Amino acid sequence: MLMMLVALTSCKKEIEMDYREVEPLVMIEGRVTNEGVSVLITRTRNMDDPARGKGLAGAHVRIETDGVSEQLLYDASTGCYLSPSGMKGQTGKTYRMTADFEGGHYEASSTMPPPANIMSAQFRWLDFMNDRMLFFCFEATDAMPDQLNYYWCRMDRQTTNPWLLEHVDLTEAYRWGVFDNRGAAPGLIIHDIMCMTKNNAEKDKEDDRKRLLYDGDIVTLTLMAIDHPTFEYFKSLSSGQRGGANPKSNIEGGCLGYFTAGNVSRANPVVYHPD
Amino acid sequence: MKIFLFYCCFFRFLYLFSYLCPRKHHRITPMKLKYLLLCASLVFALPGTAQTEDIEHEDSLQEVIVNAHSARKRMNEVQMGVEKIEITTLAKMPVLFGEKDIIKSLQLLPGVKSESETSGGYQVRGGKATQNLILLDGASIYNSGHLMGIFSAFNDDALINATLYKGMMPAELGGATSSVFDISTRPGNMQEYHVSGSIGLLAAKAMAEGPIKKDRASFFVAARRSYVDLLLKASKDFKNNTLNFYDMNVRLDYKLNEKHRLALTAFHSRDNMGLEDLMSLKWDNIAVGLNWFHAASDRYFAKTRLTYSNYGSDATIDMMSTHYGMVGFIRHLTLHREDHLTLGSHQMNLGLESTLLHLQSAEWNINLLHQREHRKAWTNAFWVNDDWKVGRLLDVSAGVRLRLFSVLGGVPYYQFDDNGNITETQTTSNGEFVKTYVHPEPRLSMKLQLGAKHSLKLGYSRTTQDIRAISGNTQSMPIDRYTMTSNILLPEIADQVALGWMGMTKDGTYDFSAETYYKHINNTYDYRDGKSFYSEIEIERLLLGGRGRAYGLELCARKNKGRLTGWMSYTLSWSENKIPGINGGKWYTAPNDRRHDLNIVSMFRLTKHWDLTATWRYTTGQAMSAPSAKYEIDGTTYYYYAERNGYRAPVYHRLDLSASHTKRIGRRRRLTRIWTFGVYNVYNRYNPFTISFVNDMDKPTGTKTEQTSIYGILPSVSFTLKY
Repeated sequence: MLMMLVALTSCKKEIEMDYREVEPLVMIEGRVTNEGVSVLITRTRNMDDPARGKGLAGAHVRIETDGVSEQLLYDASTGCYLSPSGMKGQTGKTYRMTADFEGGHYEASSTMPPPANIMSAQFRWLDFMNDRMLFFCFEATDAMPDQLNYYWCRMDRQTTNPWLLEHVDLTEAYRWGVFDNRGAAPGLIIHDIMCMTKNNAEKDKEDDRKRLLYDGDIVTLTLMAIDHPTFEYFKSLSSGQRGGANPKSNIEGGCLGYFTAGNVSRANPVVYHPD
Repeated sequence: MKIFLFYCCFFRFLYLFSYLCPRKHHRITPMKLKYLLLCASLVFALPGTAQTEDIEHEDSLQEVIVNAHSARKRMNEVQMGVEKIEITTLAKMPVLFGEKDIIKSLQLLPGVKSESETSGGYQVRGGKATQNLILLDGASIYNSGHLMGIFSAFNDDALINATLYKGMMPAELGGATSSVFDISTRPGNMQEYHVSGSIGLLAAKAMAEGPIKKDRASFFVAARRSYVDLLLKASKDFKNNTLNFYDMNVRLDYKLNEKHRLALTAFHSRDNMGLEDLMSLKWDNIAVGLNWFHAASDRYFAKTRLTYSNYGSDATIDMMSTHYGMVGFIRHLTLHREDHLTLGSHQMNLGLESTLLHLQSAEWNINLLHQREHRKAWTNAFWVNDDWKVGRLLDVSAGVRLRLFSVLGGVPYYQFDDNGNITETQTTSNGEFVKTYVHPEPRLSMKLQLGAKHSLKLGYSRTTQDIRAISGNTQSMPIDRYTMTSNILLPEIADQVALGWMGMTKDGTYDFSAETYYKHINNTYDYRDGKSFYSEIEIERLLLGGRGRAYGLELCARKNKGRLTGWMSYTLSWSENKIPGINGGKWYTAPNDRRHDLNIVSMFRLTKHWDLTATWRYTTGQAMSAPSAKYEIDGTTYYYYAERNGYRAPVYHRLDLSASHTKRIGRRRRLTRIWTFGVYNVYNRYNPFTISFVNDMDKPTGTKTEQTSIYGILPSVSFTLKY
């Protein structure tokens, strides 16, 4: 009864905040993967700006490895700088990115770790306090079990739910995170992503919908083996959003963002059914 | 409404202040003086020498304590920044869920702030909760909160007095850069047996005391246990969960003769929380002490104390493919000796303290991985302090504490690069002195008497701290990892200066005080950005060291006599940090910075049976970080923070009320029945607990700012029966 009283009297409400504006900063998101090369350059926006950031043209971007350097070209359809030769990253190679944009010079390097091949991916329910909790569980190979390896994963969903299509930006990840192979069985990484509880799914409250999966939603999983600086970047991006700290960029020159050489693997799409 | 209340309080303060205008000279009659001295000497003796035979029954004991903390006593105190907690006053405070809480009451004093509404931690003069030391009968107690800090682990029935030193402290105390809270367990009555029992919404408690051998030996036992878990058992949804706490105080006193006394004290508190078999969190404190009091003459007495304390925490998660467990502990074995000698106008205190420390910052199992980090140290302190009455007007308390901290071997020690990577591992043998730090800590307090009703005080204090919790949150948690000074981590050193004035009206009905302070702290540590308690087992890899500073003004007005008593305290304060690698290496506002704190406490004796109490708390916004811009990474919007803690949360204010009805019942009227009714947050204000920033496509700006509040209006009731 007491807990109910606390639960009933606690509340969440929207408040007004007078945000202070700052000069826009350059943000670079650069990736060399086994699937290709892309570099996105944007600027920060004021807090009251509803528009999403768009890729900016006019930069001079190069990727270099093994003494071979290639200039990337701006692709207006994606807003990214892409490799005209279709360059793809290779395991064990170190890639260096340089970008010159509006008087600023930015550079970073990253080494591509071996891939983590996804062996299985599925939904599993766990009984939890008279309720059930849904997890998305996957297993993948850990190519270098004798050392500390780092991984980034992302869940996307395709949905036909009309409310989500109207109110949620589905280019955002449904879930994402980074983890390492500490304590993993040799050569095998197992990871669980918490999705939702059955009660919440049945209640279908508007505030929860962004976190809910609906019957027929198709979920895809992307797993990328990353180096330690990239892991640190994403880890601090995740924790810093709660604590008021900016992530530690591995790009020199005073911009936001990161550059990584990552090895990507993808799971077969999984369709969610409640039963 | 808020402004109106503030001005009402402010003008009330000015009105009371007007009482201080000099009038005719106040005289203390010999009878009053004798009574005052008697009260003062009793209170001085109680925690140490347990002279309970002088007290006939509990009512008279309470009366003595209240009078001993009178305006005159406060004014005569040479030591600055001292707050003596009146346990009887505490019993009247409105409380959350009806559980009386010494830590929550502490937060109503000037210069003391709560960490948050749900936390048992408190912050003193711009410091963090982890910079406080709590001593129970001389033993160190950590994370002293039940239910994640909603209540303190100290049962008010078991306490006789408690003193908070706000950074300025006598030489016999040390080990904390922010404050020392010195609590004493109540000795048993050597004349009569007493028992009492109390039932509240969350917990029940019982107390028994009495002579083992009349005038020779006594016992005291108090215990408390929550019964939330029993209620959970009745619920279909929560029956497999665990949620309980208990604590127990035991004290045995034995009078060898008129000059020698022994006291054995023991304390145990424990919390158990668990979500079925999936998660659990447990923490406990154990403290045992043997005290020997020796009074050779009127001019000399000594205290010797052997204490052992053990704080432990244990967290597990066993869910799907995640099997995680973390165990930490801090163990102290301490021998403390102090000698007090009176030589003319000098009261000397000299002594030594030697402690063996064993601290395990973590031992964890992460699936197949097992790692452990633990360290040992030997710390010694020698001190001498002199309370010198220099003439009729000036009192000086000056001393020095020499502290030696030796890091002991037997485990690996490391060297790190700037990014926290290990560059060298140093193997050490058991008992080897890896590094020794020597720090003299000078202490000085002066009081200049300005007539009978005013005094001016000045103080300086240096304190060091070797054991600290590293908290990744804005409030202390049982899962915080602790660490201590090592070959890499330097002792935290604080220097504080303070200047104060105190005045009282001629009959002591009102007293007023003002203190201003400036504090500088070296070697304060925090997590590197992106690191948390489980990032690495070697905790030094996760930390960055820097400096801190805090300054402020504390005002307090008290009404000590009459049917209406209470106080009003106001704190104006600043707190800042400078840590390389955070905020571009520039000074930034500390997360615990809050500019204004106002507390009003009033207690009204309505009738012989009814006591009413009201407390009102008003604080301006807590420092917080809010974004200044946003950008997208991998399709998701994130926030850019231009400065650390550069924004303010909304103001916080709350009114709590309490009414207690006390009546003697039974044939011989030896039973006392007390009903206590309370209302927490009377006007149901939704105060800020957390503020978060959420992407929301439905908003014109794409961003929503949400405030979460924890407690609305909460009534409570408790019933106590005493014999």
